[in-house]
Amino acid sequence: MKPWFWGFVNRRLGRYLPPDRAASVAGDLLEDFDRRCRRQGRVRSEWWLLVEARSTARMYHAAARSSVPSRPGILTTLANGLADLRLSVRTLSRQPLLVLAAVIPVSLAIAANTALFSLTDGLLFRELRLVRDAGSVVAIGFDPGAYLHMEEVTAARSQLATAPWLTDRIWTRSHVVLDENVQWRGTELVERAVSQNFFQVLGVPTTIGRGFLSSDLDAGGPPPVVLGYELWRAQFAADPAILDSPIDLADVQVRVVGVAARTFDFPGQTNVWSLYDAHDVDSLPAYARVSDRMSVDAVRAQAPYPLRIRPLAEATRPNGALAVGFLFGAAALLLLVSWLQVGALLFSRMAGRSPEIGVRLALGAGRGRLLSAFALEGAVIASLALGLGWLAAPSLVAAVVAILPPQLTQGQQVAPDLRTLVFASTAAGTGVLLLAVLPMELLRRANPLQLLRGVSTTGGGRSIHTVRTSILLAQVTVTVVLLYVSGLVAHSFVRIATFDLGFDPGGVLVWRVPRVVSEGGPLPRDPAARAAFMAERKAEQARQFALVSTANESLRASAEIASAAASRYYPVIRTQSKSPMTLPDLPSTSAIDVRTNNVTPEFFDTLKLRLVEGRTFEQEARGGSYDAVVVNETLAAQLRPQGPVIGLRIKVAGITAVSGAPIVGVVADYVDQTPDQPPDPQVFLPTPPERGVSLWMGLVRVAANEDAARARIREVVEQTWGTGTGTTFTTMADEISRATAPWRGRTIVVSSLAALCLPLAIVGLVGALSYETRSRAREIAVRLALGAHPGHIRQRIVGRALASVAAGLVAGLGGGWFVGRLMGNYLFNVAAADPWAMSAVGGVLLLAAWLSALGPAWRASRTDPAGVLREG
Amino acid sequence: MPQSPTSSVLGEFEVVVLLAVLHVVERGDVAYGSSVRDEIESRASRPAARGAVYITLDRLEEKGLLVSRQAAGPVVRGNRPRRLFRITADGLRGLRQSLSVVARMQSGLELILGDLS
Repeated sequence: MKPWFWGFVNRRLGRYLPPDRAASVAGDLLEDFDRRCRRQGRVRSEWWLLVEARSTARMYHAAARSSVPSRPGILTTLANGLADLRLSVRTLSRQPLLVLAAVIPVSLAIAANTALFSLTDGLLFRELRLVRDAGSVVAIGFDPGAYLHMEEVTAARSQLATAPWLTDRIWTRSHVVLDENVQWRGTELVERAVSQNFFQVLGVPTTIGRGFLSSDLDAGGPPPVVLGYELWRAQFAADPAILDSPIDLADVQVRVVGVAARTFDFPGQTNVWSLYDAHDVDSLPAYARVSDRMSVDAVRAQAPYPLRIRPLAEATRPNGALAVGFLFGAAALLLLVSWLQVGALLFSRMAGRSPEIGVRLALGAGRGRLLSAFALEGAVIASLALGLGWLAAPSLVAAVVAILPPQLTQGQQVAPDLRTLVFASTAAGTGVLLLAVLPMELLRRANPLQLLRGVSTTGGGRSIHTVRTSILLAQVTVTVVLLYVSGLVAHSFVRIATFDLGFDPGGVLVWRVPRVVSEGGPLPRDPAARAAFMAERKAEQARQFALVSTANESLRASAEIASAAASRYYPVIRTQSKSPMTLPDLPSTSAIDVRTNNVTPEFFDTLKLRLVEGRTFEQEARGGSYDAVVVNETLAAQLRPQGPVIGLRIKVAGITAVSGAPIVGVVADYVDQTPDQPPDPQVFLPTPPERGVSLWMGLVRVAANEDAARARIREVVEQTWGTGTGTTFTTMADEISRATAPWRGRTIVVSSLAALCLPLAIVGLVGALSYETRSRAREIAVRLALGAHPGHIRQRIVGRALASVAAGLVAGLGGGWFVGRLMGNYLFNVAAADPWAMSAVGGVLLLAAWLSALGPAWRASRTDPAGVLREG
Repeated sequence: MPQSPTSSVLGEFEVVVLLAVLHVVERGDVAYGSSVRDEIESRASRPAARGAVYITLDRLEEKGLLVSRQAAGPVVRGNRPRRLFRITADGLRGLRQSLSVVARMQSGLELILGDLS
């Protein structure tokens, strides 16, 4: 009679006793059990059997452990280790292709992860190098979410000017000497105008010469500049003699007073620092040091609305925590793909080595010993991968930094160092070691006899084929997730890049209008002096207006210029403040916050803004009247419930010229800042002579040649404002490129990762199909021997490949959709379930699967049935 | 590799197991794990753990004091072999040595120890 728990008893004995002993002990137990059953009954005997088997097994186990030498000497351990290492190297050297297939993805993963970690570390965690005590420096700016009412801005600015918690204020402007980002002898000159205390306050040393002094402001002659180290080295052969003598920099004469410290390029990859008179009443300080008595957090809380004060490191980071999450997410996915790839390969290899494992187990090798041997092989693979990865990492980091938009890497030194290499290597290496041991663990409980027969099941009853297919499925799934996310991001970028901006940016050149008016100063208290001051300001405004009008007329008459206009603001750079607008004829309606922009009538034509309704205020301006406004579609839509928009009179608080002006036209919305920001209600005001200073920017549409247009504008500026007066330029295309830089950066990073993952998935697929073809060689041979057509065999294998990928595709697209929902902030006009991205990823993957299956399918269809069947 | 019987002194339980094997064989029965264990329990009137008996039998075989062979058993064993033990000449010599050491140590202490049988 068979005991109820005989299976358990047998397994217990089999686990702890040598096989021959287990059989005889089991026989003894059965014999005694039978005797006891007759004497004591079945139930008591069953219990007795359980206790007896358990105690016997435990005693054997304890005896086996105590018979192991307690601690081998260090020399023995070393000798054993070396022998194991030699065996691992010998085993691996017999399979060079497999080693390469495992090493290359892992080394790629290490290098790519080092690049991503370096970026994350450099952009987000590393303090600004070279800046003395960077933790006490804050960046000051407007809160991007705030409505800028002029009164509040003025109040905040004056509060900041006298705040005791800030010291050493630094002012900066984009560029005052050179054109914006001008190319000169193959180098891009990035100029930043700074207040004279910039270098002293930041505590940044110079390589030669000095920073700025207050005496430089009144020195006369060519404007003083500090050059960047790389610019000095590349363009002036690191010649120290350039100091204090006039030199030519992109057709502008300057005087070099110093060369900045090597690697210092703050803010924003600057390589030319020019001097800027910090007493401009219209500007806010850009940076300041926090007073010793206050913490940065306390100062942050003190910031008067609508200003925002942030630590310098935070202000130079692209989008803080979200960027960290994004980069780490991408890095984790890449690691996962490389681990899965190596896991799949090692598992196939392990399955092929099952007879060897069976022999080793049957010869008495401990399972722990086998595990450590396989771990050592994993370690050899990991070491090779580490070496390759470390060699490739610096170049890859340099490549990623080079392809990323400079706006994302501004002010930071991004380079791999030992920390990032060790971090990435540990992450990748640990995975490899785990995956090297995992397949062995799956076979751990398999019976040696089964293994010797070339088994296809593991101890848990799982078929090796099933496990292998599961790994492939996971690999395809992760690749699909990455490809899909990359598709979503790329699609977002395409949507951004092709977004209807509401105007035509092609060939639009923006030039800064020189300012001849005095910088103002406090209003005199004495009424007579005040009246004289006001009259003087009014005359200056009118003079500036006349100069702008003259310059624009000259430009319009030039062959190089198609049209010319002037305005206070221009699209894509939203700096306009908001003011409440009311309807004097309908006093019951509530005020609408609108952005206002002083423009000349040619503004609409120059930007090719589409007129939706009515007309522009050209005829009023020609007739010397300024009693008319144009609004955008968003504002028109809000006003439409009140009746016809054209003819509706509006009043904008704080603007005396618009105190009941009729709307004469409606123009299409244009992009204020970035395409993902919805347009605000906007009012375009004609500019009367007494507001001439409002016309800050000149806008021209180039007729043909941009360089010729720039030269012509410089000529006109000199003719109009006097010899020696210069201007600086930017193009609308540059501004749009800057606004869309984050999308471009993300697309580059994710697409590069996806591009790395696709080949890994293909290698995995080829490996899986080759393994399957090999393991089914006998079946294929029988089919061929029975008359199956080779084409049919090929079709079956290709079909299986497509089916595996289709399953991974479904799972991966589900995962991608989920990730897409999580990263909603990064997407623009693209839903998480994007049919375009889905079709593209599906198409690419199925094509890859089809191509991957061709080789194995062709080999299978050429199987020699007689040979395979003879070999058995 | 069997070790020399003189190279190690027999432990108390090893002596007990060897004596039990001798008793079983002398009686004309076959000495295998269960029968040796039963012999110890009935003669020494003390429980013997099955695992301890098997491990001691293995050790004595390793020392060359016992030899074993596989033989078919009754049907109730489910075709599992019996492992039958037999004492070797070395085993007998070792057993004598151990018992004589005990006898010599014991002599002269009869008054204190009393009749041990």
